[in-house]
Amino acid sequence: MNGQVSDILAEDARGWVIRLQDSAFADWDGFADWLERDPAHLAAYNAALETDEAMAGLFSLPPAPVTVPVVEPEPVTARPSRRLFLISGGAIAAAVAGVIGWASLDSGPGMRIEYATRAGERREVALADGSKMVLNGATRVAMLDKRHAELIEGEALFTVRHDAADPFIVRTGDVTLEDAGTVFNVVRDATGLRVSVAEGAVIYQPQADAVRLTPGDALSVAGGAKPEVTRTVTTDVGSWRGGQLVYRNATLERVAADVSRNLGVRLRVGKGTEDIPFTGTISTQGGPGAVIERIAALTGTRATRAGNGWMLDTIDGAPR
Amino acid sequence: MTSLASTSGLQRVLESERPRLLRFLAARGAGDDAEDVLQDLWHKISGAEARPVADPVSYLFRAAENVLRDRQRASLSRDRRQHEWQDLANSDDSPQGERVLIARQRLREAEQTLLALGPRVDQVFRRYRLDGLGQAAIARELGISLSSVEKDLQKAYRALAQLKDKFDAE
Repeated sequence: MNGQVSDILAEDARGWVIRLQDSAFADWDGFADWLERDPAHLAAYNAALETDEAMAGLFSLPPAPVTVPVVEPEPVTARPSRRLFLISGGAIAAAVAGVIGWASLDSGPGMRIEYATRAGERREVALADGSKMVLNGATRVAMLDKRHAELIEGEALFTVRHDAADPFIVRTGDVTLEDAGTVFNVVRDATGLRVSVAEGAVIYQPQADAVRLTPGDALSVAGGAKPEVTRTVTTDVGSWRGGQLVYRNATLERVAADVSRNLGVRLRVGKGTEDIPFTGTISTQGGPGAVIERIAALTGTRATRAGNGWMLDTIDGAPR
Repeated sequence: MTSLASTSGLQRVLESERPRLLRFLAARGAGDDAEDVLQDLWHKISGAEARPVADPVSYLFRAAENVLRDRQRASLSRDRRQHEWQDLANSDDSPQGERVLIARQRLREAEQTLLALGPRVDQVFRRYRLDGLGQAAIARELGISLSSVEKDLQKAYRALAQLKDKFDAE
C-alpha cells in the first residue's frame, strides 16, 4: 500500500545498521532519537538487522567441497619398483604419469615424480600426505617431495592438508606459493601466472614480496610486471572441473589459452584481438566448435578453422 | 585516543550514564528488560580483565546493544519466521546436504550481486562487513572519500536486502 514510505524507512533503517557496525560509531543519542520518533522505526531497524545477519551469515559458509572429479581417474595402478628411480627423470615421468596417488611409493628425499596430462584431459591425484591435486589439460606437475610440488606448465587445483610446521609449497617458474590451509588454483601458461584462492590462505613469494591471498583473492602476474590482486567469487575457483570458465575482465588471449588447455584444441587469437576484454562464464560443454563459436559471438570476433586448430579474428580485419 | 578507563572506571561511567543508557534501551525495544540488560552489562564489565577502553561511553552503548541483541535473539529465535532460513545459512550438515547446496547457491548469488555493483562496491562491502574495518580506514586504504564509502555500502546492503526478499519469496 505505502510502498514508497516503507522503502524510505527501510533505507533509513539500513543506514543505521550500517553505521552501527563501524567501531567508531558514537551517535547513540541520535540513534535513540530516531527510534523514538516513530514506533515503526524500531520494527524497521530489527528487520534490517535480521536481513543483515542472514546475508552476512551466508558469507561464513564453509567453502564448497572439492570432491567432484569430472573425469574418471584412469584405472592404472602401476607400482614402480625401486630400481625405476635409477632411470633418468624423463623416463620416470613417462612411467609414472599414469599413477593415481603414490601413497604406495617410497618417498625418499630427492625423489621426483611427474604427473602430466594431454590437452583436454583431466587427472585427479591423491598425494601421500592426504592433500590432493586436480590437473587440468596440458599440465605438468612434478612432486619433489610429499609437501613440495612444481607446476611446470598448465593449471592445477590444490586441496592441501594444512600443517603449519611443514607448509605445502608450490613452485612455478621463479615464484613460490606457500599454503596456509587451503584450496587454491594455479595457472601457468603463456599469458603468465594466476593464483586464486577458494579457502584458507596462500602466501605468494613468502621469502620476497610476500602477498597474502585469502578466499576470493585472485593474483595475476604477466611477464615481469608486479603482481596484481583482484577479487573473484570463491565458488568459481576451480570451476573448470565442472565445465565452466569464469572470467572478469580477462583478455581474449587468456581465454583462448584456457580453452586450448580444457578442450584439447589449439585456439589462437589474431592480431588486434588479444586484449579484447571478456567478462562472463563460458561452458566448455558441447564440443570445441560450438564452444569457440560461442566465444566468438560473445566477444564480437570471428572464429575460423586454422590448420589443425581454430583462430579468433576481428570481424572486419582479416580477409575473407 | 581519548580518555582511558579501567574496568572499575567503566563501572563508574555506567553509573553516571545510566539514564542515557536506559533511555537508549527503552527506545531499542528492551521494555521491562532494560534494567536487566544494564545488570548483565555491569557483571560483564566487572568480570572482564582491566584493560583500557578508548571512548568508554560509546563502548558501553555498544555493549548494551550487544547484550540486548543476544537476549532478543535467544527469546525470539525459536518461533522465528526466519528461523529456517538462518539455519540454512548456518547449517553445518554434511556438505552434500541439500540445505547446504541451497545456501551455497545463495552465497554465489550474493557474491554475484555484489560484483555486479562493481569491484569497488564489492571490496568496500567485504572490508567493512566481513573484515570489520571502519569506514575511515577503508577510505584511506582505497584512496576514496568517506562519502564514497558510505554510498558503496548503501548500494551493497540495499542489493543484498533485495536479494534476501527474493530468497524469502522462493
